[in-house]
Amino acid sequence: MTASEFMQRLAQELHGLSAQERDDALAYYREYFEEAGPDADAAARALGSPQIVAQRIIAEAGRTGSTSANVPPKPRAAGESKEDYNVIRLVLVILLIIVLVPLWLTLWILWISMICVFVSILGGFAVGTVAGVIAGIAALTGGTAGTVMWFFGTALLCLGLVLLLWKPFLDLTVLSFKGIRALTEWGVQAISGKEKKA
Amino acid sequence: MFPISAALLDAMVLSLVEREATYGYRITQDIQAAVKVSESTLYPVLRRLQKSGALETFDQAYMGRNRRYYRITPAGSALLSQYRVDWEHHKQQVDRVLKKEEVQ
Repeated sequence: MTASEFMQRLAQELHGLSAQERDDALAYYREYFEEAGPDADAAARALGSPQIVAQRIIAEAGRTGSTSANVPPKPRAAGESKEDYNVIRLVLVILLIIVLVPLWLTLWILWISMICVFVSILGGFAVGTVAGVIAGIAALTGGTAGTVMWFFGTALLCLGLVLLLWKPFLDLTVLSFKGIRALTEWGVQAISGKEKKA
Repeated sequence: MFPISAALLDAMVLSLVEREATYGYRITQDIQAAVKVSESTLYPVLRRLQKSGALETFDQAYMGRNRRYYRITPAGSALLSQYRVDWEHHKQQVDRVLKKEEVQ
């Protein structure tokens, strides 16, 4: 550690002292390094940790009762870095919300649209089935055999399509719901900063 | 080997400053030349002695910058005299046990 690094660290560590006490201590050590001249860096190393040096100064200032605040400098420094961390976190969270919310909205709207399409297709075939049966029964009295066959055939085709399609449609709906929900949960966890439950 | 108590360090600093007004760096050097104490203990000692009125400071320009000198006050001289008496007593007490001829 160089003398100037030592002075910087010492100034930080003496944060909790009164301005008078801090200025006097810093002036003393500035002069001390000036006296050491070319050996200033060696003198800084010999002094050891600025934190310990600061603790001795603070202890002496506290003992004679002339501190403006008995706040130890260390927790305050830790608090400051925590505030920095919180600010960075907040910015990241806002960015995440800006990016993720439109994505979620789009995905959920797509999902609902998909359900509507599935319901329409299945509904259409279901109506076709019922209509074919009704029309076939009606044709039994007045229509030709060909007409009856055609209506029942159509009804059977529609019923077959409904039976064929409902299962894949349902699977696709459930699967995509799970996928989008997982993505949403991941985003919420990232934003709230909570650990994922194991 | 033998720890230097706070009172003894106070006494030694007072004695150094009594000889002539001097500044922090040199006091540190002189004390370290005599006994093994951490460099970082000297500032609190000077601060303590200054606050209790045993030392006072004055600033003097040196090579285009400021040098803070410490000089002893009358109260400091009185304190130092008391320290010398106490030290002499302490030394004798230790010697009474430690010195060969005294034990016999």
